Amino acid sequence: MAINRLPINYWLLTCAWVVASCSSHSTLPFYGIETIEGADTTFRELPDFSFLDQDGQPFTHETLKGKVYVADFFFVSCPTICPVMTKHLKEVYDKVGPEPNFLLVSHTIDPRHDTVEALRDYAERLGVSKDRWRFVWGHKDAVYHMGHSFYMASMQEDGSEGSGGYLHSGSFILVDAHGRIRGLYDGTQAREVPRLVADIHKLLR
Amino acid sequence: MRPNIWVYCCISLALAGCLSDNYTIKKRQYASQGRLVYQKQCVNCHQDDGNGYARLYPPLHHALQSKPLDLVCLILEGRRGSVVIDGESYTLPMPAFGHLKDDELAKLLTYLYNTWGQEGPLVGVDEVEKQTRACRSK
Repeated sequence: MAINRLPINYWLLTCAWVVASCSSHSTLPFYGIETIEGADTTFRELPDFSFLDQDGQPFTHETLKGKVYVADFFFVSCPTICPVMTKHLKEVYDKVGPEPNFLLVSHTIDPRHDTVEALRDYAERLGVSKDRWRFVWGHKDAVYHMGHSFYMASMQEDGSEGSGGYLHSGSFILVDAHGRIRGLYDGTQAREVPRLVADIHKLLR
Repeated sequence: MRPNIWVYCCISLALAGCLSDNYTIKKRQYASQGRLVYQKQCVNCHQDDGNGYARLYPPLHHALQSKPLDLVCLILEGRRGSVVIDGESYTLPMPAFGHLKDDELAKLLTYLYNTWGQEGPLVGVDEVEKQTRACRSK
């Protein structure tokens, strides 16, 4: 029979591909602050929080339970990196498509100006669905604390000309369904979009 | 002996050609340096093609119907409030670029008016300087 005549290299390659496919999920690293107890390492999970989405509906840690999501930090009037980050995240939105267990989450770091209405207007102008992309309002201290302590994202007010009033990280942060950070991406670089999309699919499998 | 009228004509044409060449070369030089200013200051919102992004950041074609110097104050001071372009209202504020120097503005304007299929003028630093002063004294 023909199948017996296939060279051994073919079978080895096939096995390697199967193993690689099965283990691709586990190839994503874990990021964040770790705790080591004996032989066990645990990574800090998303803390409890209570914010609002662009429709003024509660957006909490419960909203994200069991979901793979990408978080970033931005502000509506940002003249520097936010427009290009939004454009790249919109590409992720388009490429991943509707997935019930996936969300994009953009936290404003300027809650004084970026009211719930301003966030809704921004989302509508961008043409995205609330089911797939939440724009999130929270008290500044709570947002900054979560950004620093869990997402490892830096952000601060800044009075220098051209910054728009804030300096902040341009990272996209990929979080798995257990609330653990599994990927960090430079949101200002177009080349990061395909890598992020591929990693999202790995976590959704 | 009186020089031939044709000699005068040839010299004049050659001089005009040189001047025109210098103008074109300078315009190209300004436009290419202005592209760097655009890439650093403007491209995030208005994009490489000048068409803006989504319904958030407006396209530039409307603004480019004005004369180049009419844009100096807008660039230096930014804009608050909405602007309507092709029936679409854009509400995000445009930040002020008051830190740009006159030569950067001249090069940026030369780039804007000589890109995306347009053949516009060379915008000189001296004329921008006058306009900058007028904007700042308002």
